[in-house]
Amino acid sequence: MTKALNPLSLLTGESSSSPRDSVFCEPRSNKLRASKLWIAVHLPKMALGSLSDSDPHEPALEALAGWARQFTSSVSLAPPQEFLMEVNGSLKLFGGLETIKEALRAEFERRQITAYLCAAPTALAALWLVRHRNHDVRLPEKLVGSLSALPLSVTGWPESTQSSLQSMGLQTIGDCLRLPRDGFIRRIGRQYLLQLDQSLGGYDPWPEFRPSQRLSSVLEFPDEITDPVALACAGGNLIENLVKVLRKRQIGIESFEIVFRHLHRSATVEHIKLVGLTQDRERFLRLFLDRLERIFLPAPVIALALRTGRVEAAVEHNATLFRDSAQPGCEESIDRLVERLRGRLGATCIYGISLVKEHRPEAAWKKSVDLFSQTSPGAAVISPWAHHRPLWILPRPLPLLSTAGGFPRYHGREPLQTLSGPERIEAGWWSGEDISRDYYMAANSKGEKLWIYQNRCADRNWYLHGIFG
Amino acid sequence: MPTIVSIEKLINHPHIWQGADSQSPNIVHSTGFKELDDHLPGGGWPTATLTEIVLASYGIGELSLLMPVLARLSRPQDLGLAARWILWVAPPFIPYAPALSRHGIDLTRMLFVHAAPSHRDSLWAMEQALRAGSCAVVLAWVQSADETALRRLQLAAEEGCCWAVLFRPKTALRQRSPAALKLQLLREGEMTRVEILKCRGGRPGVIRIRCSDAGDAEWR
Repeated sequence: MTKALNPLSLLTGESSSSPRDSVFCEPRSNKLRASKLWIAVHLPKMALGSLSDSDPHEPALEALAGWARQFTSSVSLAPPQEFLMEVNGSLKLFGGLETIKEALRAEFERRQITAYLCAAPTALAALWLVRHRNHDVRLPEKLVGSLSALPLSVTGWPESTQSSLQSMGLQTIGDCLRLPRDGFIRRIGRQYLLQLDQSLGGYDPWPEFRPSQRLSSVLEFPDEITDPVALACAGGNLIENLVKVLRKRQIGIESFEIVFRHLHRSATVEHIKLVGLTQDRERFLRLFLDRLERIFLPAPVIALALRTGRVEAAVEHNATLFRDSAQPGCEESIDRLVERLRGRLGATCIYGISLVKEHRPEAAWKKSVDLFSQTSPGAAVISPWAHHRPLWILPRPLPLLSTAGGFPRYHGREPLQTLSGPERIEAGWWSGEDISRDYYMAANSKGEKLWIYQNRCADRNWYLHGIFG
Repeated sequence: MPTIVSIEKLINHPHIWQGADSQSPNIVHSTGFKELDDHLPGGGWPTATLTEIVLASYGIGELSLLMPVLARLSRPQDLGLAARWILWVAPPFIPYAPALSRHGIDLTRMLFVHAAPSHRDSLWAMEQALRAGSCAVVLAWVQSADETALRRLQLAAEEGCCWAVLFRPKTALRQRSPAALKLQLLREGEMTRVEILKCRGGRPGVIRIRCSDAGDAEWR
């Protein structure tokens, strides 16, 4: 094994060549390049998102790449439309390149996906060749010849780079390979030269694709179960086991689902979303029990399954030894509270509000469901015209009934007494939602202080818009 | 069979009322209205307890009454307290952001639980929030709540050291209440009439205050 002691120069560095060398220089080790065979899979419709996969949580490209891992462990993604497989080590096992390609084609046909395949000794070459719908290139010697004929568009280089190359009269990769190296670096850029080198057998690392992991376990009951206590108990056991696995592997989850299986019926599936990555048993259990309390099960349950969402490495915080009662861990426990409320009442039930710079009263605020990313500086954006604004505003203005004299009334027969006004608000014409209103502060006989307006446009009706709470 | 219980345990039992002379362990927050502060034991709103506010209709100054204390609690760094949240459960209308911020409230500390489908859900949400300990105040609007539910809220407020404010319709006037403070609000011309119906460690009474609509008094 003396050869291994002399490291091979994998990267064809641009400095090592004399100025007159062309981009293409004779590779140093043919053996190295011959030891790999990449299949590039090009899925032209992938970018449009027209592929529907059985699992909506997983992107379609990753689903296919995950499936392709049965042929080789070395699969890499080249989003958005391609993925790569290194199959040299698998050729013997599966019976040759054609057999593997046949199996891939059959699967794509079954999934009704248009796909193009091409094999080449380097990953980048395979990628470029497949974009031009080229034939396989098995031998490294033939690589230069095949690549040379390809147009520049297959490289996926930026438009500006391609057009400047074209303005120099370079139409194909072969044209580029004939250029001097240092000139190419100066005019076009080092990274593009590196890519050309990679396509011809230079050092070409591709991050290996690892499919996302999910955990799942099932608890089958000996009999049909309707008792919620028994279900809670079974769920507790599943969660207990899940947490053991999570702790052991130092991973956390952000969501999970509970599947209640019934006889002769489709299963009831409950998704539970957590705020942040966690492996906390108490949180899982509480959310599960809250949900269990609320759901309606159409039939007795014969099995209970727990499936996690995406699994990721998680670091649990250290627990405190002494509970600090003066400073309850606020930010953390508000997460938990929000998580529980959302778990029971729905994802949009809890929200924050913020100001919007806008003259129209109904548009001067907005809801934000994403609670912990608000950066509104609070007082800094108070509009100067917000002096007489009510603390309550109605979701939509309420048309008011009128007395015989045409005055508005609310909660009573007497007409409303105006206390101040009018304040004219005319805005929104630029967005097609123009308003033209005269606002008044008014009170009725019960002492309710109201914010009402009269439409100045067509109907001249009175509306209640807010209440001075 | 008699059991021996220490006197401290008895005194601190939440169901045992003590007279006005007992030192209240609660922190109180000034109401922002001098007349009201003078009347309430400790000189402010009792926190870590349940406060019931009964009102026949909206728009009689029920929110303005709370604006000074909410403004202060939303900026706890000014008071040297830990940052906590203000949660609104099932408000009858939309709290209007420009007016709130005009009253000096930091909107980033506000959370709203919108119109839970049933009273049970609202009460549940309120109790969860009280126990969590991450909120300074939980305001809730509930049409019906029995005495057991109110007692649960009172205990949750003590446990989470959180002030529970429950707005009740007029039907709640006759209901027995475990709340530490129970008020009725009425409008009298420009003034808001605050009737203290029950006050732990204090006396019932009637106070008239002028709530500002614009909040300029509090606005810095």
